[in-house]
Amino acid sequence: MGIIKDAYSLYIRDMLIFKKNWKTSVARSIIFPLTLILLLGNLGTTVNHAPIAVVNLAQNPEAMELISDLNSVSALQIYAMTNQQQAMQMLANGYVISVVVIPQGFSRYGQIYIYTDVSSPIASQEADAAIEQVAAGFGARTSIYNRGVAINTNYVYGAGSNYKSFLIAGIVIMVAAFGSMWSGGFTLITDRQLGNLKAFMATPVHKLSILLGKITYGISQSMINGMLALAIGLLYGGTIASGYAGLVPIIWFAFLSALGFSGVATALGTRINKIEVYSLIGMAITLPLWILSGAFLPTSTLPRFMQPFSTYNPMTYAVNAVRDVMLKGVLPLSTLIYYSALLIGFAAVTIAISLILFKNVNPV
Amino acid sequence: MAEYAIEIDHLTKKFGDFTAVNDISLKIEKGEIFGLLGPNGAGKSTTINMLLGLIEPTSGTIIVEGKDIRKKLNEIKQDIGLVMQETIVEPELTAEQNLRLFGRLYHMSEEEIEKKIPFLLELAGLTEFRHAYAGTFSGGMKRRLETVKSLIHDPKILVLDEPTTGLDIQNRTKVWDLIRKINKEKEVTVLMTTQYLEEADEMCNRIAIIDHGKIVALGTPTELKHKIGKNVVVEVATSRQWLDKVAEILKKITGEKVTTSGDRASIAISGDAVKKTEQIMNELSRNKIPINGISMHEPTLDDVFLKLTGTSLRDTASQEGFASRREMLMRRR
Repeated sequence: MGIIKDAYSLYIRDMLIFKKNWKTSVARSIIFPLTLILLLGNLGTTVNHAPIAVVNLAQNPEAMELISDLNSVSALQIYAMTNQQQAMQMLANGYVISVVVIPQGFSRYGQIYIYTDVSSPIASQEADAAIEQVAAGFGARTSIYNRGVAINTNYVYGAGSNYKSFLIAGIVIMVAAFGSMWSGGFTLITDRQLGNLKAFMATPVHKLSILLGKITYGISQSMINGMLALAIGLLYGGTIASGYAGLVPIIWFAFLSALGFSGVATALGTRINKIEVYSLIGMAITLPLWILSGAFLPTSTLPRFMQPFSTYNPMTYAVNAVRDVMLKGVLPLSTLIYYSALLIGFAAVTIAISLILFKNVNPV
Repeated sequence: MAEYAIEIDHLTKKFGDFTAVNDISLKIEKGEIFGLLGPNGAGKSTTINMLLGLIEPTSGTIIVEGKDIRKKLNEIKQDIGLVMQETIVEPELTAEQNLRLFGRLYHMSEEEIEKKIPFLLELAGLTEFRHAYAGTFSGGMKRRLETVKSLIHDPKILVLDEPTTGLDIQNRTKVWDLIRKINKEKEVTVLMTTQYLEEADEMCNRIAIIDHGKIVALGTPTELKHKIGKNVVVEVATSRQWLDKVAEILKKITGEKVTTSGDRASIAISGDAVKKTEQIMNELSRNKIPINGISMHEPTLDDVFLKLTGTSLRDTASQEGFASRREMLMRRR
């Protein structure tokens, strides 16, 4: 179809311009996720030092075995004690983040109690996960009592559970989604300002081709940025629990995010004339969406009144999907289809809106 | 076959309360170089935009090569090559890539495009810059590339919106030569807008003078100058406070209508211009009126413009035509 061919010609034009500046573009694409990963990744990452108190009320060989198992986990720093009150005092004072109580008469399949201070959510999650793992290996059942404000659910899973992968999933989607804001929509505005849009519209090409060209360009930029971010993340130490096969769904969801936000970017670009206004509105949309998607903190840590916002946020689903692949290693087909459908629906809506707005685009 | 290249009939464009183009009618003949001369804000660019289908007219018709713009816009676009006021050669693409892009946008086949590229570069004198990035070109080179780019699809009509605004004399001449060559060798009708009277005078077979959206005069440069009706124009430059007195004296001596503009009073006279000028100077010095200069010259288009509109084109011409046009558009919105 002529329209597709013309869209392709315009797409090639944008890509050639990108190619000429590829060094700066790639540098820019790398710096952003790299900075994020280095900064945030080192904040709440695999806890290297989680002090916990173990109250040994049992004083039997099994208890000692459990304690030595706990000791062998390098991330945990064990304070062995016999006085529970003292231990709880330490918890209250913040010296330890968890207290493990091994009750009297403890046996191999007995029960232990964990008291966790969740005001430090990441660290306590990590600590509890580590304790549970040890306890599970030991055969003990655990019962967990929480102190503190936040609601604590969704522990990280499995061996190698780490905040890095958690974060990287969020960054990849963020970069893929918002990459189109800074390419497709942005160049629409600069093209208008420079007179390029007028020049294109003076030729026989259909308006639609111009729009399609920009959307495709936005998606290309997003994917390049997203895959670079993923590569950096993996090099830095993130892991994909399902191995190389996991790359496919990750790329798929990055693509869907790029598609959806390309629509947003071009929709904004058709009507906004000044770059400053576009940047402002772009930021106003992307930042909240990113935070509300649970990209760098779990949605469960958000205040209750914000929860619905994250439910209606398309990014949440993309981030969850990628996160599940990277951390859990498992993404059930039904979830994949459901999330994909949501994201495709979102993309359809945004692209339809930009189509409608573009009909009346002002070339001059 | 259509008689005229372009027929504009009672064309009007209003932006809200503001009438940018006010009931203009023109018939541009095939193969001629036609100029639309007027100051910034006269409505030149708006007319061009309507011709290219970028803006909808409020009323009136435009027929290009026999086709109605409301019905066959895409065909018309194929017939027209546009050189805009803004320089839009993409600096991040090579000369060749720039040409190729537009060849594709005009739905030419790749073979056709490849054949034309060297030809057009040759025409513009840019053959050795084929693979150079347009961002490295000088202003004049960019303009020339711009001009030949508009020809890639062999249009019948070339429309240029202020083609030499902002260029130095040398480059202007080069662009003029290029346009003339294209008009002659390829029999392309040329419609150009300009704010420079010498450009219109030099280049155009016929000129329409436009001011505040209306056509105030139409004809060949010679015809227009004869509208003044007289042989010589005498112009006295003085400071503003003395302008009326000077005008009085001019009128007294010659009996002709005096036009004043800015700091000049001018009058068109027939007969013995030298004697009359002598009389004027005597009278001025008798009345002790200080003047900055006095000149006699054959009528120019500026004089025509001055007579018809009461303002001088020279006073309103600007080097940064593009910048003020943008301002104007912003204000308009």
